[in-house]
Amino acid sequence: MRSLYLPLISFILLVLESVAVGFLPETIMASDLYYIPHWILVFSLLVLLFYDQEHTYHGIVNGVIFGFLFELVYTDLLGIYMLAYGIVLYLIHLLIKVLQQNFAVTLLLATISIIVAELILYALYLMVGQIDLAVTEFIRLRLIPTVLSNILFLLVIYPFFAKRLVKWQEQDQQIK
Amino acid sequence: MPSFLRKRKLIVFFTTIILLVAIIGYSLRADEQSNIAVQFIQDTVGLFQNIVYQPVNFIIDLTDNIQDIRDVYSQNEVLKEQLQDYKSLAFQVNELEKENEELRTITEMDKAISDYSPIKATVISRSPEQWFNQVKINKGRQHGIEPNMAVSTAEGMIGKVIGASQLTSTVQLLTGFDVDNRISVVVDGHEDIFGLIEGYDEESETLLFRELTDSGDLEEGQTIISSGMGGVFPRGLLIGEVSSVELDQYGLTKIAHVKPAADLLNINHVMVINRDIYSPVLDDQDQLEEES
Repeated sequence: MRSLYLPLISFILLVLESVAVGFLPETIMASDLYYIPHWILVFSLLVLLFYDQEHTYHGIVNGVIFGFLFELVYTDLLGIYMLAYGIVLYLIHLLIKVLQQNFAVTLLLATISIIVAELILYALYLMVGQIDLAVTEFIRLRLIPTVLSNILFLLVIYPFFAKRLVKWQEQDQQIK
Repeated sequence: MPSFLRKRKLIVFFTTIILLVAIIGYSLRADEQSNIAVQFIQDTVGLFQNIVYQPVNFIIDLTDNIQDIRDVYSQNEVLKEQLQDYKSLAFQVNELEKENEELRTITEMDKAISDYSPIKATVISRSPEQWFNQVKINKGRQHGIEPNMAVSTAEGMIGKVIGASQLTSTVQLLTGFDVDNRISVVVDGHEDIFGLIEGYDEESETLLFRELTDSGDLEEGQTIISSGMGGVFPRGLLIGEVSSVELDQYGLTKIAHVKPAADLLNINHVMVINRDIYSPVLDDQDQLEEES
């Protein structure tokens, strides 16, 4: 039963991402800034940090699958979010062997992962010709607002999930 | 053993890269939503979006209504004045319609290129990836929607359907139009000025209209409507107003910036437009599907 929680939560986030964009007031929509929700990435990161052990890959698999679904539902191009989320989560997976689980580390890793994911997305979209935007413009219009809005999301979900994920992991261990 | 492990990692790495490139390449050209599995996922997500969006929509409508009530008095004053003109206008329109019908029966022309039947739909989500200017609506193939149909609000055209699954479909907004999604348009009232909408300029927030004729009469303030000559849209969908005219980079043709008539940020209720007259793109698609 517990193994259903992670995909279920990810699916709810997938649906809510688009609704959240609809909720944004018109003044924000009318400005040039882009606030892209990377909630699936943030959630997968939490799974990676608090649920996964050294030899399990739930966070990465979750991120890749739902990155793919995100593209299927919301964009024309497949494979780009999947690639970006996959690379970022794998890098974080390599990194956490030397780091501790606490809030400051989570915040730092989330910031890094969103920035790296955004850069990969920018590079790939530029390559396939979906966008035509200078790097400086990209950083000003999209990278900074997106990172800030996703950090805000992390602050909201961190208290809900951090302890709970650790608890789920311990319970899974007992079952095994 | 370690060398074998390293090799295996390399192999996995390269196959993933190849797979990803294949997927990206495939999705660059294919119409994804012709695939049944994709349609199923789209509809499942669409169902949940619908459930979440109903109460949200209700609240939005409610606040809109409250704002409307505030403006009612001043609007009422203006409308009363306009009502007089309207009555005579309605009478004129009636006469003209009757005359038009009579003339059509005389010439045995039953369908005009401007006739269409609208399918009403509600927007259930906007793509969170805002580099793709797409919204999703709650009607699909089951309700008669096909890819490439025009979508408009009461104010004017907002885009076209790019993918339809059984119960939902995806609309590409005008802000995301490029050379692949052109619209054949004319200037309202000047049949001799026609051309193509070729894309959207992010900086000035206007559509780019390339004039194919060399009339020299293209001016600011003229109204641009769809011409129906592209073979997909009906004639007469309002697209926008010319805000400025300039020569293109080679100095040969004129490019006009067209301000879209519809509000592309705040879209709730839309009409998907199915033109009545034969359309090679839409109608042949049906045939092909039936044959296969």
